[in-house]
Amino acid sequence: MRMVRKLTGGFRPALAGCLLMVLSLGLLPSAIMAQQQPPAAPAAPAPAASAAPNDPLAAARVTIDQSERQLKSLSGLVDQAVTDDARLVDLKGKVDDLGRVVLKTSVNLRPRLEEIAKRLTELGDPPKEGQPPEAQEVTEERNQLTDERGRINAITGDAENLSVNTGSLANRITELRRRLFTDTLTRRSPLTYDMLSEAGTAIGAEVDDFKRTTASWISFAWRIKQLQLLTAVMLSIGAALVFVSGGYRMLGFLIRRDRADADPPYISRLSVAFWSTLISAMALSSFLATSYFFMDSFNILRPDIAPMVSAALSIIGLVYFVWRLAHAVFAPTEPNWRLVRVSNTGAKWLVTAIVAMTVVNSLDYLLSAISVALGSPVVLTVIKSLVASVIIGLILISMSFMRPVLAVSGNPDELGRPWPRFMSGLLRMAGLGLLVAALVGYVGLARFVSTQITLTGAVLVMMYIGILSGQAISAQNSFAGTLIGQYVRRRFKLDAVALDQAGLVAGFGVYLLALMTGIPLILLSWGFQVRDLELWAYRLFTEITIGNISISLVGIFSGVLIFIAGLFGTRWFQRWLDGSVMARSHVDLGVRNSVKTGVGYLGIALAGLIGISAAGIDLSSLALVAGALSLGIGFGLQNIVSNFVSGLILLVERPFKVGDWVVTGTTEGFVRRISVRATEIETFQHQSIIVPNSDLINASVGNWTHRNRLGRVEIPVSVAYESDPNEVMDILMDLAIKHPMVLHNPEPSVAFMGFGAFSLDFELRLYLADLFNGTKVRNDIRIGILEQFREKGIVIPLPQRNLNITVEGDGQSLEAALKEQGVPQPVAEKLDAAARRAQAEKKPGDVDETHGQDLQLKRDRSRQS
Amino acid sequence: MVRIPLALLAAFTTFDHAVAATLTNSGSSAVVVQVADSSGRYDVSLEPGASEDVCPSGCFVTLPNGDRIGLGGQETVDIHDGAASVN
Repeated sequence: MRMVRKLTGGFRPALAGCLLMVLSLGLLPSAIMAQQQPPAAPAAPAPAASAAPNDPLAAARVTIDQSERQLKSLSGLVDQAVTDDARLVDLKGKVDDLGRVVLKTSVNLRPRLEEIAKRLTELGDPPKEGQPPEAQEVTEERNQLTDERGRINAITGDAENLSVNTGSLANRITELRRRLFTDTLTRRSPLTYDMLSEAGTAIGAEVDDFKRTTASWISFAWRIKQLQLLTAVMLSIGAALVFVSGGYRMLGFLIRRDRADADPPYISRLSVAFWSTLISAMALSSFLATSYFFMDSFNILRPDIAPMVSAALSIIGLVYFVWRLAHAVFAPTEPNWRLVRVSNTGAKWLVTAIVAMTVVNSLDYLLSAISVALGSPVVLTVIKSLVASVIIGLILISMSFMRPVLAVSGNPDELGRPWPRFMSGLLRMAGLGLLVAALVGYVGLARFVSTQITLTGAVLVMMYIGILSGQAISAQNSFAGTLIGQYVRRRFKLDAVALDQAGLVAGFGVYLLALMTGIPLILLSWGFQVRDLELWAYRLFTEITIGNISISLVGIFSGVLIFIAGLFGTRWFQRWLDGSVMARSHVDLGVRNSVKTGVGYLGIALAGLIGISAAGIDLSSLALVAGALSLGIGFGLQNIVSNFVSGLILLVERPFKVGDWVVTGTTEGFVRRISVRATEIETFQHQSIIVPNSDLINASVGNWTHRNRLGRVEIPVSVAYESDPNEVMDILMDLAIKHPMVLHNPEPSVAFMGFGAFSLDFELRLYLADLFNGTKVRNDIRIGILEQFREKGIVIPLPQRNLNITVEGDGQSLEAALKEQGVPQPVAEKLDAAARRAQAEKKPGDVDETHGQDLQLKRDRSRQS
Repeated sequence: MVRIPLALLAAFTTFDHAVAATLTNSGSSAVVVQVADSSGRYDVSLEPGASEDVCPSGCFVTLPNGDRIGLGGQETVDIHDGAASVN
């Protein structure tokens, strides 16, 4: 597991670097092509202001004339470059620039034209016959202005013609390029005897030419540029040493395969594959690039030799990259580090075949670069590509007969199983297709396909590894194990969950990087030009048109950015308003909260609207949608909207504010939060109750602390009938007045409430400045009452119950029964006596229906004090 | 209180995001203007009060009074009795 941590330490920079390297390799061939192009067309027209600094019309005229000449020369260049796609792309850019210059020139003339028109309107029409003549100056000014207007219109007219011509030239270039693309792939050059013999002589000539050129260059370099050559070689070797030793020393632990590890986890295998390919290929390509750079900057390379050297260096880089990549994926000697499930022999042969295909393809490119540099006939290139395509086709067919798939036993040493049927079929089809296409004469197509099989294949594999790494990083809890993850955790002090989320983001970043770099590379290798990609990217970010709607990613992004900025601005303003302005003005806490919440909603709404309009979304079209939606809102979102509006009313009207003690329905407690939809009330037991705002608006709400906290509390007191009510009232009043928290105005009062069942009932009524002190005051007063009553001998009666027993007949039996129950003698005697007394008093007709001795219980009405 | 956001909403809704030059005829009679852009020349006829979006990437317009103006692509052109005012 430690291994994993080390290995997965830094996927992101690694991937970036690797893809950059691939990019550089991919671009080198195009660099070769670029060097063969004729010199660039003249630069865009320089502002002609210097010609006539004070006369904008003359300057515009000069610009237009210059542009016209430029258009002519561009048109001529296009005619020369009908077969050169890269050149056509370049020219298209120049033509577009020219069109913009012309347009801008005439747009700049517009203010002057408007001025003239305005002035002419002010001067009015020339006097008609019979009207009094006007002043000489006026006539002169009118004539001058009319003249200038005519000149401006003439210049704009020319600019218009020029602009239309520019547009048609641009369209023509596009058409040419389209035709070129289809023509090159489908151009047929059938194999004939003449062609072969021509190629034979051409080969001889080329070999001689090549020998002569290289020999003359070598002698030139050695004789004239010896010092520079040696310096360049030394410098590039030095650079290579730095790259290799530095790379291995710093990152070597990432790419070493631990042979002892019998079953390394997939993530470490992936990471080793990734890093080993990346670091070594990076080191080599840096070495190659620096070599070329030094040779170029020391002027060792001659124009005829430079494309060949550049091609040679780039194919070395490419072949090495593919070789490393193949080794990384198939690991022919270390089955436990293999990324795919193939047998040992299968891995060995696959690596050989893939590298062989790349070598053949690269040699084809190198040789055609040499042919182009030496100006050899096209037929030679065709023959070379034909040979290369045939060889690649044969390799593909032979690959289809391999048995690379891991044996059923899973032992990589055993001979593997054959390809799945569709795979072998695909390989054979591709190989046969290449052979047939090349031999029938579609060499361009065959060459294109065979290049794509190697180049696109390599990029795809790299992208795939990148995507797998992204997956591995974003897997749950795996980011924490990586070096970067550990660094991020230390640096930003993240907890486990946040770190896991960071891993998700990192994984997504790796995906994005893999796709954003891989896809352009594939497109480049498919013949698209860098400028095309730039244009696409530009369009993608500035304007995507779907039907009548045009969306701009930059616009949307800036809209989102403005919204976020607005949100932060609102938060800041809220804090400032609340903390500085309102707190210092001693505004009530509830009002502060209302204002803060209101400002928050307003800010969010404003930020949203500004963001939407900045994103380029036409709000008038949204209004239509809103109109249609309002019906739906009327039905579906009725409750939510009503709650929202109620919330706003609560904030404005403030029947209660945050911190108030409210009673609504069955809920009583403190208001904790008034939000969009609902209000949170915390009961005294600290239970939060969320009450929808509309309930608070529609139902009655009691608020103990609406205007202030002043309130009345009552303390009921009961004393025995024997007590003196005046004394009791005095004691109570005295206690109330002496308590520091009891208000003197309104005065406390004592009410004699009534005659209770066994007590005299009083009520002490007190006003408090702050109701929240009620409990404390009541406690104090009650304790005081108790103490005073005890001192003064005033009794607080307990509930009393009188038990009356009526005994019928002879008391003897009652006595006996009581004795039986174990009632002590004296009590029993007393009862007996009582019974006899009662018997004597009883009238004869009053006898109960019941027999024997009955206990008649009479329960007194009792009341709790 | 509810009215304020609604009013703001209404104010912003009238905010039109320009994606092309807009020609508007505020005169009393129909006009025909000639527009020239990279795809060629064509005529645009405008009824009184009508407006039309043209050429997002710039073009030339020939007005009824013979004036020619270049448009960058974001302007609003108000045509009144053959003359134009550009914003």
